[in-house]
Amino acid sequence: MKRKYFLRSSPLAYLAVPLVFAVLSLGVLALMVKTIAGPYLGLASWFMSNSAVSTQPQDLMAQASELMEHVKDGDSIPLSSITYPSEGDRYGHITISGTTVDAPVYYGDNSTILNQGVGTYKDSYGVGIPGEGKTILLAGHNNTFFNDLQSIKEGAVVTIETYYGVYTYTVKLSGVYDYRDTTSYDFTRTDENLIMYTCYPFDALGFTPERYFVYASYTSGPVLEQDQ
Amino acid sequence: MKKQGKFHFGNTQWALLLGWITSLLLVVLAVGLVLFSTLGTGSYMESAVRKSNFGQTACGVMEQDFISFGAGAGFSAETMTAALSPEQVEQDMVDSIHRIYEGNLAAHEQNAIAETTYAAMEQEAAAKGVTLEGGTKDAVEIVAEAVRQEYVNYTTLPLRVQLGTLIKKVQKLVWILAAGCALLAAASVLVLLRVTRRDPRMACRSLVFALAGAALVCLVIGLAVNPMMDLQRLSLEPASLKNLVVCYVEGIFGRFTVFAAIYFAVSVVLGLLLRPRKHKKESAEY
Repeated sequence: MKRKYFLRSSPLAYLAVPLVFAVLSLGVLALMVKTIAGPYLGLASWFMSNSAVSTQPQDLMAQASELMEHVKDGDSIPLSSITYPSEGDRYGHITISGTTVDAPVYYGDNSTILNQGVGTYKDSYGVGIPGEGKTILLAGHNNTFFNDLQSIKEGAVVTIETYYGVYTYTVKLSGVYDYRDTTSYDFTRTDENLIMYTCYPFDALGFTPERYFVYASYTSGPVLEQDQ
Repeated sequence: MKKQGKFHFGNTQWALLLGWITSLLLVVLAVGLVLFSTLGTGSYMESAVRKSNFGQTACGVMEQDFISFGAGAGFSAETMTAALSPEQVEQDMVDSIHRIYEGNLAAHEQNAIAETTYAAMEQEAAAKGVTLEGGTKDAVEIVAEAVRQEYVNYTTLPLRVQLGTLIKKVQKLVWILAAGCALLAAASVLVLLRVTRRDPRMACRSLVFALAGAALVCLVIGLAVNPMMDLQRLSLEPASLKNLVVCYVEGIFGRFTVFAAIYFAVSVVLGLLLRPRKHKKESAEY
């Protein structure tokens, strides 16, 4: 009788009963969704990244002065002690003797980056940044930042100032290759070396299938030590 | 005594059960109507395109790419972005969406963008004293074609064929689902009224419970599902497409709050009609 009174007359029933209804309905709906859309939900989770929102590119060169005070030529720096650049971060500045090349260096090589300066090709293992003991592949546009790569001479000194140290490389070789020619670079090398490339010819109008490559060997700069 | 102790499935229990079934059917009806008014109509996606600031975002990314093409091909940023405008990008995306809803799943070729860009490049070349002919003309045409292809990619929804098929299915099935749910809900209410014909108060209260329960579920779907999904984690490129998808999905769940408000309003009206009229009785006694 009490139960019947509660359902028929109690104002509290207006809250309690709909709540019970809602919980039951949500349970049934959850079960239906799991059964019908389960495989699709699994697929959807594949499109979800673990980090919330991608971070904005940073200007790592702002940290340069305080870090570089403690680094001397020939020093080793633990890789973990520096902030490894993320896509879009400005991490250095490049100049080449005998040319007017003088540009900021960014990590990554998408259009936005190449409009702002020189880009660094990135992948998971074959290439790296100065000091890592790998191939460093830098790209720049032939009509802007790498236009004067055409004046480069063998023996020219390439200086890359980074936020963790200053690196120099000596130009050894240059050449023109088709953009599909994979022999123009070697990412399996285990010694530090620098490759710079741009579209060729320098003054061409329209799409150019050729690329101008400059190869330089490591001369000086602190070594980034991999963690044990 | 033994009989009293046993659970007896009487009219009150039937009323409650039918009330819950009605509530569930009202929720499924809301799902059907939400799907029909969102996924089933091109105008909803059009509104999502406009709300997500699609034109501005897509234009920003394309500008960077076109400027980069120009920096490699010997043309200025002004020349390369001459044919770009956020309004046009937005309009082209909206047109592309309407074409999918009309059953035309082929991407628009957007030849005009290639022609405008080529004309701008030709003009800049002429200003430099170069006439586009032979190999140079071909090389410049490749750049114009790259611009066109990128523009098409940015102003067309990916997975058009799959999406077109899904839309057709939704448009057919959702009507059946909604109509079926509406009929079943009506039948459930009729049975409820029949079961409680000797107790109109219980009948009305059961209907209020059903509507309020459905309103609560719609409110939970409308307000809680979005934060749970955390769509900002969606790793989708370009940003314009991600913003569009996020805006689109959030809008779908947002519509459930409208149904929550409708169901809640109806339940309140029914509840108010049920109020015991003490004052009238009292005044009658005086």
